[in-house]
Amino acid sequence: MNYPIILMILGMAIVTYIPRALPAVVIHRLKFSPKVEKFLRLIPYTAMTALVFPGVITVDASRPEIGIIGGTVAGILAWLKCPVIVCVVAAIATDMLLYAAL
Amino acid sequence: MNKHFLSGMKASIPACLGVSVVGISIGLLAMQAGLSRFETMLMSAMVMAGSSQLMAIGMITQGTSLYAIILGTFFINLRHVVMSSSVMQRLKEATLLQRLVGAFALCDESFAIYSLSNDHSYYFLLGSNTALYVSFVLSTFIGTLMTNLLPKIVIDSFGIAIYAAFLGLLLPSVRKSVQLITLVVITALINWFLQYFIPKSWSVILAMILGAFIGVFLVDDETISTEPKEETESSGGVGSI
Repeated sequence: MNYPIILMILGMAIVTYIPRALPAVVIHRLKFSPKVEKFLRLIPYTAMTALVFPGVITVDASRPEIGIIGGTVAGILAWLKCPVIVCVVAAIATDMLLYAAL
Repeated sequence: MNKHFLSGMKASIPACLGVSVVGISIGLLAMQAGLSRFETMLMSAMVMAGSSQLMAIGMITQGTSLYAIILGTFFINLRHVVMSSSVMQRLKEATLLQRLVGAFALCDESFAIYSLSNDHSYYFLLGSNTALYVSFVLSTFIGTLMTNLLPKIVIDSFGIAIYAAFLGLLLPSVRKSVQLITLVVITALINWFLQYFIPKSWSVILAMILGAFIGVFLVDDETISTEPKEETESSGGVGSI
């Protein structure tokens, strides 16, 4: 058993449940200004962005094209609204080809 | 079991498919990042918030500290407070325990389904939550099984997978808005810049907060409104789960 991972999961579970549960306890008093609401709703977008860029370039630190081309293939498919798993499989297949070719 | 519960489950079937796609990706990627099957399942069963789980998996592969992962999870899931308070307004008749149970698996999908339904009973919400939760945990399990089937040559190319998953969540939900695309570019540049000064994992957290703050002024209210849209998309997106 890997205790740091278990601790991480417990921590994640707690910090995720608190915002979900808080309004269940204090039903009447929670009012959010439109700006705060917008801020909260934008975080997943900016989080996904920050996780991809620029990290994707260093997937293989010695070969930036692995990340750039694989990421571009996934990006195009995602843009065309392909399901996540399709983007993942296509990006892996692309990088397999790149590694096999060179 | 009552008929509200069943109709809640029924209304959630299309969303269950979208959730399962995310669940399978999480199962696959978490195992690849070195989590055990038990840990992967535990994460889906206890957290039940796909984007943050993918974020955690990505951060584990980058060797991020536990604290940064938990803090990032907190911010990315903070939006649920808005959805939960909208749902709980309609559940004043329910007991506190019922509301706390209803809050557990409350996600973007169940919020949208509940808000768009004519049935605002507690058991409808519970039925919807249950269907989504079971789909999510089961599909995570299926994803963990898939890693055993992969040959080594595939695993060598797996580094790109988590990034592809992020793009798969992000791009479908920003493609229609120039403002959101601009925000994506700005956030990427902020993160790029910050990485020269602070450790990567913290620059990600700082960039997501700064980016969202800028977005408050950059993005129109309608583009990012909390009101669920009529089209319930089954293919997911950032707002998904």
